[in-house]
Amino acid sequence: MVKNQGVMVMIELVLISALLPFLLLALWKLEGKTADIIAGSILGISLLLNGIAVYDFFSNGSEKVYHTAYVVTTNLGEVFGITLDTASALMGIVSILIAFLMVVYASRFLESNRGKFYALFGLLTGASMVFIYSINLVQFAIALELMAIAMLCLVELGGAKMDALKAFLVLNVGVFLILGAVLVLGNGQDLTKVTYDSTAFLLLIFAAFMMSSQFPFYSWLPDSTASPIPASAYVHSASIVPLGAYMLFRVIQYMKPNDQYFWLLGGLTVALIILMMIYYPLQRDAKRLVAYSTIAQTGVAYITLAYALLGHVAGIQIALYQVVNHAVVKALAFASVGGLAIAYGTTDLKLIKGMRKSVPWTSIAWFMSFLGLAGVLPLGLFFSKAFTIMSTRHAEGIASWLFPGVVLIDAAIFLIVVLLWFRKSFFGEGESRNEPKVIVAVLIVLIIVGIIMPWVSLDVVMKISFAG
Amino acid sequence: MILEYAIGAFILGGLVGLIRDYKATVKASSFMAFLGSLALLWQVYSVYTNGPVSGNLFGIPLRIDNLSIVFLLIIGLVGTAASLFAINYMEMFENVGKGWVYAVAYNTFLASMALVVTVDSMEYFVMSWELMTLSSFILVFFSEKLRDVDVSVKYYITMHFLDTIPLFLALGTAYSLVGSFDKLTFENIASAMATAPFHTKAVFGGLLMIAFMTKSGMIPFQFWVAETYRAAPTSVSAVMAGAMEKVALYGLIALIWRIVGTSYSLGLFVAVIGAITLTVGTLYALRETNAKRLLAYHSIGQMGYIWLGIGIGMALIPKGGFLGAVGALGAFAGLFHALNHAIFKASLFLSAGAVEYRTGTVNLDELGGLGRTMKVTALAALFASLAISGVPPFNGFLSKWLIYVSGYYSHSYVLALGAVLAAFISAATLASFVKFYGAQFGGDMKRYENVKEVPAGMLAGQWILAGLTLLIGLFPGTVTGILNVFNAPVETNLYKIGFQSVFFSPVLFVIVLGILAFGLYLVFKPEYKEAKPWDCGSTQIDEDEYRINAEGYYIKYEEKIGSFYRLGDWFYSVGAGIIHYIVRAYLWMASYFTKIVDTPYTKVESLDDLREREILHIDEEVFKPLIRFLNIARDVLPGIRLGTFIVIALIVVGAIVGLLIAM
Repeated sequence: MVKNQGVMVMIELVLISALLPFLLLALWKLEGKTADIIAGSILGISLLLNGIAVYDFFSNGSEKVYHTAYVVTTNLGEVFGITLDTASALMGIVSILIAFLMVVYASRFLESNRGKFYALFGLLTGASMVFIYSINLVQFAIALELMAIAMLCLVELGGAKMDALKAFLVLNVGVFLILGAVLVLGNGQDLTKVTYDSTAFLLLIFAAFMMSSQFPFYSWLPDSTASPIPASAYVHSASIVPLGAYMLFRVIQYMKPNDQYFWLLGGLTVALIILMMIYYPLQRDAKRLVAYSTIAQTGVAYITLAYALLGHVAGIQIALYQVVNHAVVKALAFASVGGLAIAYGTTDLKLIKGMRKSVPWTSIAWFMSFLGLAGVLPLGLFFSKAFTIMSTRHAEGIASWLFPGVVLIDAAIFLIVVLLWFRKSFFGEGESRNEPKVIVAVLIVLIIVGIIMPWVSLDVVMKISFAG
Repeated sequence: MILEYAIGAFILGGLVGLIRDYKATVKASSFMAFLGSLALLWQVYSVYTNGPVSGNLFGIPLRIDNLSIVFLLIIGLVGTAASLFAINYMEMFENVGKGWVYAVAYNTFLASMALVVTVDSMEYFVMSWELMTLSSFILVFFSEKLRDVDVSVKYYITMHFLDTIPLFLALGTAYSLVGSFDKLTFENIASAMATAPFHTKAVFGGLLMIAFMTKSGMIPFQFWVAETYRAAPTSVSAVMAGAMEKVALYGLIALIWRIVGTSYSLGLFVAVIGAITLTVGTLYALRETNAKRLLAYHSIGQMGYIWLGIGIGMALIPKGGFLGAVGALGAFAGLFHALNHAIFKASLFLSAGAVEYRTGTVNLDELGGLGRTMKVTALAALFASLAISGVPPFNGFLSKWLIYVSGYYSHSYVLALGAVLAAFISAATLASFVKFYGAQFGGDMKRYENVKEVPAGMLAGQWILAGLTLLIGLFPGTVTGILNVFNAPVETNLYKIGFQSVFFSPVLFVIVLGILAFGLYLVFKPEYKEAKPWDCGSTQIDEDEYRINAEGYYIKYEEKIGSFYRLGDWFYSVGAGIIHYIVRAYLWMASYFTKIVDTPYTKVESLDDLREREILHIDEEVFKPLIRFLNIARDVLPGIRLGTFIVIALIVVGAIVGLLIAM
């Protein structure tokens, strides 16, 4: 841990960038353009500050770990602090970038309830950022609770009360599992002081599963796509769902567990991915199709985390690589679906025809992101899929075939489903439809980021190592 | 490295897509692709004269050696001609618009192929390969016609299952041997593979074999070829048939042969696959009446010749001595034929494209009489047709002949039989191209009396290649130096090419043939009489109908070998049946993941039937009692709202955290 004046500033910038989004809660009663402008500027500033900090971080040499504890208790050690290392710097900037883009996007997407949306979105973003920079379990649990509350209200905003409740309950199970792990670990909940404990690790695996909509509660995620699309985009790409994998990544990085749960983690994930393959073809709603792919793609990260349990650092590196690449592609996928929703008034792919002529930009984003979710170039999931296959082929015994095989077949089935929709919905006659400029701009930015991301983030994740 | 200029040109060609005007975009981007392809040829010359180079392009490790330049030569030649041709040809798709898609995809296509044959890392090999498949997929659906879109989807799915998945698994296998992401060079993989157990080699080689067989259209993975080449714009089909297939051959040599190693039985496998493919592909071509599908089937067939040659090399080179020399000759002949095939096949596609450009069709049944109006195109098509049929003094003859020679000397019944089959099938190729040429350019047709020759750029594109068929055929020494990767004891000088006591002199052949022909002409002066067909005095019948159409050319022969076609159709129906039952099995299984809501006992016939239903989630079903309980609680307890849950959760979580901290 390195400390000096410049470092303090850097950490404080990160802290401010993580806390700023909470300010959006003040927009609850506001409506209209003012709300748009304030929300956009606050997250913009947050992104800017975070960007400066990340720039500082990488220009100082990325192998260092900067850590400041803000709240420390005698029993549990640190319960609130900011840790800036390669992983959190990367995840943090990706998360705040997508949050910012989605707020900009939302300004043209939402018709009513803007103030409420921005407030809840701010809560979600702030909690996600606090989560990302944490390396203690209490902070994880509290941030997750906040995210769960935001999620509940956001889904309710979309008019699906029962689905909202379902998401909330499952996420709360996650919170309790984390707290259970805190109980088991005591002082060790501060991950810098942790030693391996199999019960706590098991609890944390399932806590992460709750967040990522993995085994056994997988249905809350597709059902929660009722929330406004920009919120779904953020939840799926850079907030709750990928952060489950991110938390387990952190736990494995610090706890350095043995391979006791290799098959539990890998096997359950594989089973769930196979289940997702059955669901893809049944979907006609683009949002839900994307949601099932989120579950499987986060599962891919869990598979590489299982590989990391064998003691291979490549496992955690590639898991994070998968998470950040997935983030951009998924955000783009949701953004394109949102574009379709604006133009056609529906996200039912069966009702959408002649996409290319009607909404040219959105159709490009749709084509790239939906194929990209199946691991097609030029977006990042191609690379993370390749690295996942490489690392898991190196696993032991039958896993060396099962894991990569499942990842590949999953992608292939998703690809077939997308191509069948492509055949029906993409070409043909279609009159020109509404395609707001702001949304086109967000799509273009996401496409560019999505193309650059795998090349940049590969070098970054390769610097990640086990702690200590 | 000069390759950087080429890639730079291709990137610029893609950026040209920013121009809004369709015509300007396709012209400028095709021109940049033309320049990029020229730069590839320059790179070939530079490596040929100065030796292999290594380098780095945007962090991608490259190594251009004597094998790479053979394939760069192929890509460069085909790319140069096809791009020049495309400058005018692509105008045909103006109504589709989106010139930028063509600009990006076409230039990416060429660049990715150049990368595939030059990268020195398995990861980037797979990446470039995927880029090649993706860009070709986009070009196949460029016309946006429903049938073409369907074809492109089938093409891409086929490629995903038979190329992408095996390649990824092979990549993973390579990594599991080398154990490092950034050291996956071919050399490292080869040295790790040398000590690997047999089953690892078999897995790695087997996976790659599936991928490369599929891309080069070998039996039984040839089913995607014909329709794909038909659907793509013809200048793109020329590149696909001329260059993309050959890239798979590069993979066979560079990744399987050089990394895994070879053995007599592996070589025999490759050769037998080649022999079967050349037979099946060519016989299927014989019955085609669509010019592009006909050429596509011949691509399958000609790739069979190439695999036969390479297979002879893979089988015999390990034996050393005389047989080793014969093997080297076979492999040399295979590469030679790869180059030749690229030239004449791309040329033929461009000719078909020229005809399409002027008449709007590639259906041989509807064409005819174009020899009078499109003389230059007709002559180019004639040259290339003779070349593909293996008629001396054109280039196709030499490489085919060398494949036969190596097969006859192989001391193996199987390989010799393959060579005999190849020679025999060559006759079928000739027959097929009599039809191809005759149906388009022969006879008279009123309908096309006023057709004009295509613009100069399109002619130049055709003639770069058609000219080469004759040039290489007459002076094989111009290319044998580059092609002799396997150090085959081929003796060449300007006038002859040969192996040990067997040799052929194209120049001598032409002189003797010329004298003979002139002599015969003088002795038996041909007499012409032009007569109009007799139509029984009718004035109603269209004179254009008085001719054998393409379908009628060999209909009797096709009936004779009808059982062969039926066998093929049977295989096709088996494949279709398997897919049908997979879909049925899926529907049966998936029906358990949907809820039957209002109409029970409805039969599930298609996916759409299932999509109408509500989705069933296992977790929901398992926890249904709990949800019911919660529902009841909500109904019983007054005033419960979602906010209540938030408050409860906050209190509980807060209490637990507080307790944990305090305890």
